[in-house]
Amino acid sequence: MRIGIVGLGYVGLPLGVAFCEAGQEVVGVDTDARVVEALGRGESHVEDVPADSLRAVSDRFQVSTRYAELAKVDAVVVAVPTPLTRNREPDLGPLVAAGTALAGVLQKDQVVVLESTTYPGTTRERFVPLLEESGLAAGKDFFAAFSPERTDPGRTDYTLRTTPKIVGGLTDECLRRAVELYELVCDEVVSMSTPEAAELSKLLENVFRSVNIALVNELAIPCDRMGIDVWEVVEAAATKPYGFMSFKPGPGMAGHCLPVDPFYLAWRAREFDTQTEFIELAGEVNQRLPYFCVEKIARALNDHSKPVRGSRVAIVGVSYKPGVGDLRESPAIKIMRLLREQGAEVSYHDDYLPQLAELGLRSECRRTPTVR
Amino acid sequence: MPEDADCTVIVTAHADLDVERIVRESALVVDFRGVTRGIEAPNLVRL
Repeated sequence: MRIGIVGLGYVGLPLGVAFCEAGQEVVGVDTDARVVEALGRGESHVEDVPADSLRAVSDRFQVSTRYAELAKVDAVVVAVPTPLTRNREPDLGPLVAAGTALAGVLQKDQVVVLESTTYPGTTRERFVPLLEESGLAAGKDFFAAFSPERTDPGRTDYTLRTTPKIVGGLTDECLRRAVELYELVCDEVVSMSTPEAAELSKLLENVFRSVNIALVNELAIPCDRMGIDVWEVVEAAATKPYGFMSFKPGPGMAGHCLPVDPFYLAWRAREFDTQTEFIELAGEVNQRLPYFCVEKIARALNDHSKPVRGSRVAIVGVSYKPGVGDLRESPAIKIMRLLREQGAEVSYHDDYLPQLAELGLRSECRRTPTVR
Repeated sequence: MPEDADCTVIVTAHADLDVERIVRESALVVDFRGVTRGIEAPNLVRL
């Protein structure tokens, strides 16, 4: 099968490589010429895709900035960013651009699957109408489905192959064709009745994490007051073999999905005259944590008879989670900014991020202890 | 780096972090990830 991938980021690139490794021919399209050039040279910008695995499939993996290349494929998977606007509303700009460009090259009998996380209704109401501008009809001339990406950067215990893949098709035939596509690279494909149900299931996965992280984060604050070790409490509760799932407290919520997805859901819910208060409250609680962390640092310094102003504070680890060099929404940045505002001299160490342009800092490498 | 800082703050614990050494060599450590659990030291504060 020939498969096109639109968007060669942390979702699209590993997926493209996986299709190649399964023996398929892949055409990857990204509008960022620098990304395409680097990939063409065999250089990967995604940590989960080592340059070696990229080079190993280079004869089957064609990359381009041109959508026209997609006219010759059997199926296209779209994995473009779905961020928020400045007003914290869904920004479907990249998705609309991809749909519009794809409509220009869409062929009869092609399968088009959207993987970008988004609110329920996006595939049917926003994406498919763009594709139908081609004059082809969804479910008849071409086949459309939604299948949420479950990429977890840095994770190695579950892979694309061993993580069940959810698929919801516009029609039964759309579903059947999309399932067939993913069975090439996933051991288990979960069929759903509609794209909307598939879209919402992805949002549920992420708001579930957001709410549970908020719960332990909220608990961390009274624990601090009461002098109880929150880690011990969580670990003890987790010994219950049923009915409890362990989430760890931390300096705030970060990454690509968790801080963003609740807004997609809340926005769509408002359109139907209903609210998602619990989910929004979770976001607020999580946003409070960096402030609490700075308070805690100030208190610790005070106990050592030092004010924040003029103190040298070294931050160890600034990426949003272990094992990746990704800063997206990282609470470390917020903490560093707040400390600076209070007059601290802030430095940091992170092997994954040699420099922080937004704070004008470089990682101090040489003397930070790591296990070798 | 940590040995000349007034306070070393663990915000993201990458896998290769030598936590014991950070606690041993830093004036003050604040741990927001719970990776210092099991270590008791007067210069250590945890979330």
